[in-house]
Amino acid sequence: MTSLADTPKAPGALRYTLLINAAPQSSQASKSALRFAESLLQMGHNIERLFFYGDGVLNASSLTVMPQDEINIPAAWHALIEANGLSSVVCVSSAIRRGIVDTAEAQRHELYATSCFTSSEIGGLGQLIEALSNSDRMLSFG
Amino acid sequence: MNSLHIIAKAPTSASIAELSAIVDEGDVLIFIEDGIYFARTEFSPSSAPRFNHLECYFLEEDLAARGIDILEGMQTVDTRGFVALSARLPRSVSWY
Repeated sequence: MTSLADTPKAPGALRYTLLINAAPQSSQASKSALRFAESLLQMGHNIERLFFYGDGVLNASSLTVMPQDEINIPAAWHALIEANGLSSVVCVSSAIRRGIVDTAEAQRHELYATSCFTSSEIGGLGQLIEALSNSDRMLSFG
Repeated sequence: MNSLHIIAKAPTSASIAELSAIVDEGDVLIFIEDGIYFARTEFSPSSAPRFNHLECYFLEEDLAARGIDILEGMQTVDTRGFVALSARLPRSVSWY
């Protein structure tokens, strides 16, 4: 994927934080957020941080397999984050209860597998507050 | 300070009442996902004397996905237009 963030920034470029609260399998919301994120980067705006909360943490699952004729939304998020060097944080308390763990959490809880895409980090709500203080806009997708 | 209201759920009598009570003069509304079905309520521009003064938009992709025809007077935007609205309004409120 080409980096959308390489697009020259418009003079009115804004910094956005997007809060994603819905699982990719349960509603259209995470797909709406993904399309919104792609468009805002194409338009020259910046993403300060993506924050996945509640069921939204399932968007960071590297173990999701979709039928071939359906979009794999977690894989699409991963590609967008990687291609554009975005900051992406998954709420730790939402994540571990849903089986979304990285290497550190797997070791801490003595689990035998990891399930979080390496493009996202597992963190806390403080990182959402920090991002909001550096953002011009925050949009929530449920 | 005006807000962009992002309505993503199908209308109910309760949500129509809440929206009517909360939306301020100068606020902008965008209907996305199942919020598209507001096109068949009093928020529809063709039957909306009460809401004629409000700036309302329907997301084109979600209208097409649900087979809802564009009515006369209805304003639509694509996702880039949605981004532009979010940049124009200083705050957003998500209804879901």
